Amino acid sequence: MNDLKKTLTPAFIALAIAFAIASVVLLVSGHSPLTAYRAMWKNFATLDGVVTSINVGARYYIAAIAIAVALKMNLFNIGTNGQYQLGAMFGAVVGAAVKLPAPLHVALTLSVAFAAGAVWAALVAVLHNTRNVHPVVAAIMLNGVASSVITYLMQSTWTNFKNPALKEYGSTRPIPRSGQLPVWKIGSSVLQSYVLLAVAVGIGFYLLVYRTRFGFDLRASGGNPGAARSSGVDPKRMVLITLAISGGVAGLIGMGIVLSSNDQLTYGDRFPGALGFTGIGIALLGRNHPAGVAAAAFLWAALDQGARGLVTVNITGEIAVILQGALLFIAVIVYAVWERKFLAATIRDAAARTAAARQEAAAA
Amino acid sequence: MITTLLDRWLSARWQRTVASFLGFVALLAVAGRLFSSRGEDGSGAGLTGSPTVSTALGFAVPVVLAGLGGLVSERAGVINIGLEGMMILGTWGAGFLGWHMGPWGALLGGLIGGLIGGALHALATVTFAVDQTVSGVAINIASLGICRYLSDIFFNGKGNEGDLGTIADSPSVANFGSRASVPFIGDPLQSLEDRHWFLISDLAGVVRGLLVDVAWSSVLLLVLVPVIWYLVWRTPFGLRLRSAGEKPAAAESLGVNVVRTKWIAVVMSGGLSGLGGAWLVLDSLKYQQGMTANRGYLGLAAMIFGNWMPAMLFVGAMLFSFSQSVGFQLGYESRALIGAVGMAFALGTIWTGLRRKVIPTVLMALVSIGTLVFAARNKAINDALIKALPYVLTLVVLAVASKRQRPPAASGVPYIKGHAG
Amino acid sequence: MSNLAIELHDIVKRFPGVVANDGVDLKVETGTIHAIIGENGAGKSTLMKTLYGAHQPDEGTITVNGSVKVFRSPKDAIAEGIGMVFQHFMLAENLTVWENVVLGNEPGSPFAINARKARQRITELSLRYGLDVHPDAMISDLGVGQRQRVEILKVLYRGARILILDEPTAVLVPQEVDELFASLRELVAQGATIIFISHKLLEVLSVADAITVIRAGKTVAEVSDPSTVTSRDLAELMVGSELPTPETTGSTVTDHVMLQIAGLDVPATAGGAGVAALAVRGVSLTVRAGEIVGIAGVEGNGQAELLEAIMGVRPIKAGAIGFDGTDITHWSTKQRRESGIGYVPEDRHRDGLVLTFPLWENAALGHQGAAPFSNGPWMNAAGSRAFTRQVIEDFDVRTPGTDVAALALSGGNQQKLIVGREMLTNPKVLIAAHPTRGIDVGAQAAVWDSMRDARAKGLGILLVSADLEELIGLSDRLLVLFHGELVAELDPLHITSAELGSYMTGAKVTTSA
Repeated sequence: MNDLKKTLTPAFIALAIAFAIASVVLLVSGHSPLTAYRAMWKNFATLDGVVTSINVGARYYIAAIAIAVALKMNLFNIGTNGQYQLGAMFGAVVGAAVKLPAPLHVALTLSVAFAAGAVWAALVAVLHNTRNVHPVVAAIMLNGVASSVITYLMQSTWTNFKNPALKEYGSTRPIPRSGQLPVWKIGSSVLQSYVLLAVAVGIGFYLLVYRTRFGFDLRASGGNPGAARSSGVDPKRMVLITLAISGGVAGLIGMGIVLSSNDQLTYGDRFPGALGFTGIGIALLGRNHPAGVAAAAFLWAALDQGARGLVTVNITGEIAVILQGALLFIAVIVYAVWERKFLAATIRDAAARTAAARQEAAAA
Repeated sequence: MITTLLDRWLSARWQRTVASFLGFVALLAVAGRLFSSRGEDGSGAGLTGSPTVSTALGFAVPVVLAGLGGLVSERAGVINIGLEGMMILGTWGAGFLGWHMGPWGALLGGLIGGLIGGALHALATVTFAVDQTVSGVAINIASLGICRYLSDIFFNGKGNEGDLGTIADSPSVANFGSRASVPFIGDPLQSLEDRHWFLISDLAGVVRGLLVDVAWSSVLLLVLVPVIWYLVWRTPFGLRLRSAGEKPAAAESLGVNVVRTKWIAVVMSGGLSGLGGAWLVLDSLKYQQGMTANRGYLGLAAMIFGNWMPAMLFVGAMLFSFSQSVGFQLGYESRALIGAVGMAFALGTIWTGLRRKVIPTVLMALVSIGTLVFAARNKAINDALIKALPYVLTLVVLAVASKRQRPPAASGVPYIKGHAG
Repeated sequence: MSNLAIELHDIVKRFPGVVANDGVDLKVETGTIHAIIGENGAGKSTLMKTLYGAHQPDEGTITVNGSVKVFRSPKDAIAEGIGMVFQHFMLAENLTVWENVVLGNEPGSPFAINARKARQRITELSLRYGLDVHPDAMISDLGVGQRQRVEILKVLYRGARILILDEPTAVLVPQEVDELFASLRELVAQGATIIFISHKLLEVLSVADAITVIRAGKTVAEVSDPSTVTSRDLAELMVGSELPTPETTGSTVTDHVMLQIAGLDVPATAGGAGVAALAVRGVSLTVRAGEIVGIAGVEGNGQAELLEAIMGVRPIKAGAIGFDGTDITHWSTKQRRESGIGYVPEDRHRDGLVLTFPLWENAALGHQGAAPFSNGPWMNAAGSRAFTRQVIEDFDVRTPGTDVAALALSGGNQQKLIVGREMLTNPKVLIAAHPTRGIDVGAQAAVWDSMRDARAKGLGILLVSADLEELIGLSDRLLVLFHGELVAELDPLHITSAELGSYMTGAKVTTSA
């Protein structure tokens, strides 16, 4: 209970400050914050609003977990943007090309997406391990290369397919029925089973990081690289495996869009391009913890959803982006301050309890 | 024998600089003649043509400015991944003030936008000791939203008929009217360049591209390269700044206000990056969403390539922007550039081969053969791949250069006051 | 009482959970060398930082040359002519000597440093006090003794008349100590006042004009005439009780070779391409079961690199490492640790602990691949906790429990946790650097006992220590490392600290193997 309070308090402080900032921005631009928030709430708090937030939140969640895995060892995988696009494209191409029974078909498609992301992220690790190239810079360059590679591959005949339904866009062939992830109709809304994939990724993340030897090595490498190395962890191998896992998970970010019948079922020009960066924000907001990230992902998606209601009151929806940005920036500050305060308290507390124990021992 | 002679001659810095410059031009000249298919229809500027070099110099400016920003910040011990976001804020500021006040306003607006971004980073990393990479990334993400919101309010539907802003663009911004040239050399250089004499015309083209008909915004901002060098390596403030990045506890124990020094450095870093954004606005004649296109990160790459020193940082930015500029010419110049890279690796193979380093020699030979064959077999190179060329080249250059780099010792370490001793 | 340069009265300084200074008094006369002695953690450094304005006292007054002062920052103290040479050098490696010296007080205008003037002034000062260093040298190229001279120059450059030296001899060999003391006497002769912190009693007795003893944050004695006391008296004042000594009883050395190193070359910079300098050159040694082999050497002569190479953390250039009859030269660190090589690293914060991990996870560090810490791919929290409780009990780790983060413990208790974790996992060979560094006297004895016991049961130990008493007392054989090479093999039963020191500086060389 106490632990939960310790974790949640800074998040709420950050949230309050962020809303305060957004309110000031709204006031300055001549709008009533109350009207804005009411309109946002109204657009979110419907069945469709919630289901959409869950669908979108699931994809944000996977995007954030991809970042969080690497951040556990203080590695910034800023290249998830390129990794998930490559994953989605290769997944979509392979998924449309093969004929297999349903579960195998889906499994193959997801594996291809995972592998494409993993390989692309592993390139960053190789450049870092062998040539000492800064991983953030390498990943950004590879994002640039990835978009060129995708453009190039999408020009060739084996990927490009003029979908008659979407004449003006280039895209891959649509995924056949056996390759799709099931969707469930709830009233007029559609819930994607991709959400279950997100749950599985979250559980897998938790077990891997907090329960296994690999996770121990991972966290030790993040906590103190020198000590991890002295304890027998090979840092280069760790960087390679961790980035590959991170990139693989990133490869799954777009698969809800590619594999759900209420969504695009293809990879193409209309595919969203910046989910990777959103994932970074959410991972930081959720403090890299599987539950925290889940809350942050849902919140982020809910803000997106709410923002679409702002047109009804003549306010620009971009206020949600301001809100998200401010929240992120304030949160990292509040978390850092809170953590230091918490550490100081831990040290004080430990010293006091040790002293008390010693006195007791002396008295006895 | 040959290597010792070479080593001896190359030991003086200015000789090394001149030799590298001449060598580079010669390489491009040869590659241009071997691989360019420009002769077939006569169009295109050529690798060493003054338009190519001139464009490259311009493209380098925002990368150099971001790189200088990174340098000032990291020399003071603060990693600045947020340069991209600061540049984005700079482009918006430049778009806004440039639209209202002209080119000087654009520079001022870029500066202010960047300073604000820098101040945010300083607040988080210096005052609150937030992880520096985390703060930088947060600024990059937040700046996108801030600019979109501001554009919606200040640009969307504003401006004159036919020149209306949108949520993604500002109304037009005027650039400086004239361009700058070193006097009296333009015409002679041009006539030399037009002769198509091997090497001499190439050299004339490169020099003309660098010194004649340069945008005033480029001139004004590139002056900052020596200015920053002087500030960081020749003034008391610079010494304090460097000590804050190397051993802040030592600086504090001598009464230096480390927190203030870092604040100034990080804010300044943002301002420099924002000025880079202003250049982009002046070049495109308006603010456009996404116009920074990762130049903040490229600046970091240039800084790393330059080993945290301004002059080499400039060279790194030029290498990148040159390949970008070549990509803006028609496809066959990119082919020549790829050929030049292959030849550079061939030279590298000889260099390491003479020093009997087996593995680098074999690796370089493979890369060299691969790129040369690619350049020889492809007459025109696909547009999509040309776009990747600057990124690939940056990676290659970093992969070659990064091994020997030495970042400031305390870079990335959050500093909390009162820990002297 | 003639005129006092410094008078500290009733200084109290509290840190979270600790009272570091609990009413300390100190009187220092002008023109004298005044020593402050006390155990590790007695509060000496805290007191000196208070005097230097690095932090502010919670209670008490500071009087300098007769008037009460309040120092908000070192700047204020510097203005009063007080300068401090820290125990850990405060020098930026990548700056030159002159840059380090003038930092914060640069000659010239705000727009340009007058480098010529800076060099000139430094040369002047170094000639006057016999502190020979080149102003344009990079700090990274300087040895320990030279770095210390730069530190003193920094202080003198600022016109300090009162110099505080925090454990200045800790990193010096006896010959360098003599040079330092000569410079200090020269300074005092020219009117300076020196406050000298140490826990090396013989040194203190040889150089100090007066001594103040601090124990547990309080002044326990003031000695105005050092010739009236012995080092034994001082030691008992410092500790407040009888002293333990490190001493092995009887040899337990067997014939069974546990660790064999042959012709080891280790480059100075890890992984660097090209021709890096060698930090360790042609080192060959053996450690047998039941034997403690001590390695003596001034810090920075290759000890750290040697141990890291043995652990596989640092790549080697040539040579072979054998362990219990197997060639392990190409083994990973993980294989080495899992096969039974225990490791107490030199720097516990850099290599020994993950400070944010709880104690039970730290206890598993280095042994995470084996029971009771893990079970196949899964970690075993219960097993680790039980093990940690054992370490806490056997090694008297002062902690509220197994689940607190390691950073909540004092340095000494952290060290005990590391030593305990390595000893209780029953290694076959222990590679130990400074195993008792920073821990209190009682716990020091416990660590020595555990090492002796393990040795009797057949453990082979390679011991690196800066504490010469510890080395001589514990080792069965002593090897001296100088500039990366083994220059002498000595019998600890027939050698004194002073003799050992002359081997460590390379002044004496033998091959009396």
